[in-house]
Amino acid sequence: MFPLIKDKLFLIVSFLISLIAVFIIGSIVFYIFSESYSFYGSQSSVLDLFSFKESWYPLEGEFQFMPLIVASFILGGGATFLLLIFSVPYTLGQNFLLSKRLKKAGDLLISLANAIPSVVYGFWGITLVVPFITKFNFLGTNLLSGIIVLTFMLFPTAVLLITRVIYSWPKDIHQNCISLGLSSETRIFKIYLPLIFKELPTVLLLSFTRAIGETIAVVMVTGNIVKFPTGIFSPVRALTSNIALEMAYATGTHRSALLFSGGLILVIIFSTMIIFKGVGHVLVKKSV
Amino acid sequence: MNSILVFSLCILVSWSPSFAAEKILLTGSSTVAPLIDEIAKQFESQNKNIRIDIQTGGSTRGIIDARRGVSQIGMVSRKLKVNEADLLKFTIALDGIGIILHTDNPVRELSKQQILAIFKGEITKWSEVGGPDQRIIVVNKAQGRSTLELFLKYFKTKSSSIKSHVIIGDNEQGIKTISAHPWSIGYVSIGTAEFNIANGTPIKILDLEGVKASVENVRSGLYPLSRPLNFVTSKQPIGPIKEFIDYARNRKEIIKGQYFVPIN
Repeated sequence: MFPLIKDKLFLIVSFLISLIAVFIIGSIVFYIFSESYSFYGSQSSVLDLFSFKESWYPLEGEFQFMPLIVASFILGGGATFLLLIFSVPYTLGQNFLLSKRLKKAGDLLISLANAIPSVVYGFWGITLVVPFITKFNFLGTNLLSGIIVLTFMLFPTAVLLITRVIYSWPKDIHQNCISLGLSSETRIFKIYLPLIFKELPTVLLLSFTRAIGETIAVVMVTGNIVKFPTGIFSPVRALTSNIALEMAYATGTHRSALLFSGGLILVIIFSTMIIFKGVGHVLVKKSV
Repeated sequence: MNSILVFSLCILVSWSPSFAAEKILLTGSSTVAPLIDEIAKQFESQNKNIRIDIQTGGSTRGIIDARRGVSQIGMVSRKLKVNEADLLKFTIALDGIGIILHTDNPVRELSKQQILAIFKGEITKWSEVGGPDQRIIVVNKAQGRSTLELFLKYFKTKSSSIKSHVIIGDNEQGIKTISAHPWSIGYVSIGTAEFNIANGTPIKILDLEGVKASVENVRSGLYPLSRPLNFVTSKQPIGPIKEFIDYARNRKEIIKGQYFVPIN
């Protein structure tokens, strides 16, 4: 009898907590969209906001969101792509090629790196990455610096997630491989890599949405000019940077325009989540 | 569902202000508002029966509201005009901005016209103003920042005609960006710049119209790129209003913390 009551109690408590969570998320979404809507309504032509012009002069009444959206996508996409290239081989190497002691050290380092707040990555970016980039281009604060800083910032989380994937495999998978007499290359390339690729959509989704939502590290290193990037060395401004830069002093229409860009971020994150989930399912089904 | 309602009601009730308090309403400049907000928090914690409400809307609103008696105090981030002499003025602090370069840059002096031409993108190389053959990196402030406003007013230009390479948020970020780019030019509050130079950051402040950019020159009114931050009232302040004005003028640490220059 007793455990049953306990179970019921636990059920009620967890239900309440999840309701509160839903309520809070709901109120955030509601607030952002209601504020965005007032901006949406105040503009004469909505299409004008998404034209391919490059003017963002809120105090002169000019709002164009397209350059910001494009910049956010390239930053997020670029960082996720680099992450894919670096984190998968790194995780495989750390888990299957290193000695036990080195592997432990690597694990510890990755967990530590996970705890570093993003502002530190931003600071590291402006004191080291930006001056380094100035050796190749007269301007160091640009798209490339942004992508580099974001990649380094997301790297530990991606490694941790892929490590979790490896730990979730049945234990005998390694023993079976060894008893079949497979070399470590065959094991890694023919067995482990395909298994990891199956779980990659989730890892990439999380990295991409985090990259899109990242603010402080990006503000410090990308130059924040509202322009369509013409190359890897173009300065760009992301949607999130826009809010961080101007929110403190914005009033009236300017303020609601910034909340509108907050709404845009939400829409982008939600839609990538839905698309990624869909694509992920299709990929997994195909490979099975 | 009920418990959520109760929960949210509790939050609402605990956030709503107490009703017994005496209220002081300040309206006006958004430059002054963040500073006064900080000071007001301290003042309220020491005077539990006084509540201070701050609303922004520009210096002109500060003047109009104080005149009509809508607000007890107006906040004005500029010198008063001749036709505003009917109001009483209390200067709280001063604000000055300095043009800064990297210390590796050999350029010692720039005229007002040269600076404007650089920011408008008419001069793009340091060689055109007596420096080496390097491209100029223009570091500008984000829209809405008071330093940008003051800068634009001084050079009589507008945001859209400035061609910048980097846009920054706060003063600290500006200084970091300029110390990372030896061939850049930017502007920050003089208080911040002096603090960073004292701490060994590789930047220097340019003289403007032959006047050395320093906190002293801002205070004495010699430095041209500066302005007073004023309170205005329509009648001689008494009671808590007078107390708050006196309190605000003497909060040197908070004023310095916000990169403004305290008076005397």
